[in-house]
Amino acid sequence: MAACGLFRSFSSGFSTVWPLLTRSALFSPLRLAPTPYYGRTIASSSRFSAALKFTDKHEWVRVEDNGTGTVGISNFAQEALGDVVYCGLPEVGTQLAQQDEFGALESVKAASELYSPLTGEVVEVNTLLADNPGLVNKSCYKDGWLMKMSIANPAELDALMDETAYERYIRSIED
Amino acid sequence: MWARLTVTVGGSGLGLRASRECLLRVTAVGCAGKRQQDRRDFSAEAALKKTPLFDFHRNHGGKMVEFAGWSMPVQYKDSHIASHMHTREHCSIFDVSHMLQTKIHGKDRVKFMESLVVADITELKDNQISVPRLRVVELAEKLLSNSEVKLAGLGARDSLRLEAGLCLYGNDIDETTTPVEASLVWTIGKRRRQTKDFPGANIIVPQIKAKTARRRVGLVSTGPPVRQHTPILSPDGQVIGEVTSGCPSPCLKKNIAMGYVDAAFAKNGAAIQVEVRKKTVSAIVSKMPFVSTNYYSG
Repeated sequence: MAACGLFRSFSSGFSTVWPLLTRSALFSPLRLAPTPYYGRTIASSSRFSAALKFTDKHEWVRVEDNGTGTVGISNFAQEALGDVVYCGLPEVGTQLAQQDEFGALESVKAASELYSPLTGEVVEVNTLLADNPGLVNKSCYKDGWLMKMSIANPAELDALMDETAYERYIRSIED
Repeated sequence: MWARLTVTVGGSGLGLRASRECLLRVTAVGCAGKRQQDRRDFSAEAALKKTPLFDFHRNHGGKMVEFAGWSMPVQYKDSHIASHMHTREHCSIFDVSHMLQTKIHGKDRVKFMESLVVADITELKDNQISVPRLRVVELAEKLLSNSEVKLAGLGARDSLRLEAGLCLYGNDIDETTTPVEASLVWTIGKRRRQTKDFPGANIIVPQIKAKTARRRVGLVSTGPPVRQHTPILSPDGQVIGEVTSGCPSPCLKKNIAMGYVDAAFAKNGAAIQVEVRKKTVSAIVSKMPFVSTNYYSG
């Protein structure tokens, strides 16, 4: 005869803080790349990414014909984040320095801050994302773009990664 | 070593055909952890403990993450939301092998357990199935062969427990909260309230009748998701508490959260505010569970 100690209620099941779901850790699934066992690259979308430049925080920027920069997140980032359910985007007119936080993408499990790849002013945001945040997952290099910005300092582009360098970077953080 | 697999079925008829919310928790206890490590692998991952289902998770596309010193699946091939919804509508298996199962022997075992907890241990029914560790994969595969059954990871588990209004220890309750403040009076056995022989009884039992200064409540809002540590404000902007857990609810398509507020605001339907990324957002104090439960109870 023995009584089982049933410490098995749902509440006591998680006996310690959930590291992946805390702000500090999972707020950066994109930054930390927590041991992913899938490793699709951006190659499948390369026809949209011919002129893309990437940051080490997984944003991309593409210089348009009119000289503005369109900004989004990489396929690696959208996969790490999961289903995006809310896009927090800046107001048009917001002045951003390179690496300034300009918004956040939220999935069920976490939020991930967005960082400006360049210095400039927000000239447009993707209003389709308000009703359809999943576009970031479905089409991260095209319909799921986040904002457009003026480019105050074109030299900043040179320090960003091209597609090949970014793919190499992804492989290095996955290892 | 005699390890054990525990299967907890939360639905009817072994849960497999129950239409809603039958959580099947698969547990294998007593697995070796460090002893089972592959000593040739010195990566950080090797330092994590592994359940007997580790290879099973990997083989089924589990995305493994560190959780409380264990390597556990946060999700599988399906998206977090798809896995969440499948669990609500059909049935999912969670590996809870990292949780301790303790067998206590001796004539004073009930008295001993009751010296630690508020529950009436004599009322507990045993509803778990244990199997040897070496056959846990076989059982899990067998359960999984039913098309109603899928695997679910830590991610779905967290959003599901939030919809159910269940507390995460360390977030929603800890050493500084009482069961009364946490709206968990139902966990205190009736007999135990009379005998007052559990830790903290001299504080907790009087709180059941008198009001506490703060109470754990549910919050519902739209707009930006409300996460842990979000300040809770009164309608006129005074800080009245803090969110302890929150996420967008896949079932309700709204943001749900729980947190502690001043007792004056702990009323269902009360309009309050939360401060998300330095902006105030309206929210409503709401009863929990947010999504109605459909537990099988015999």
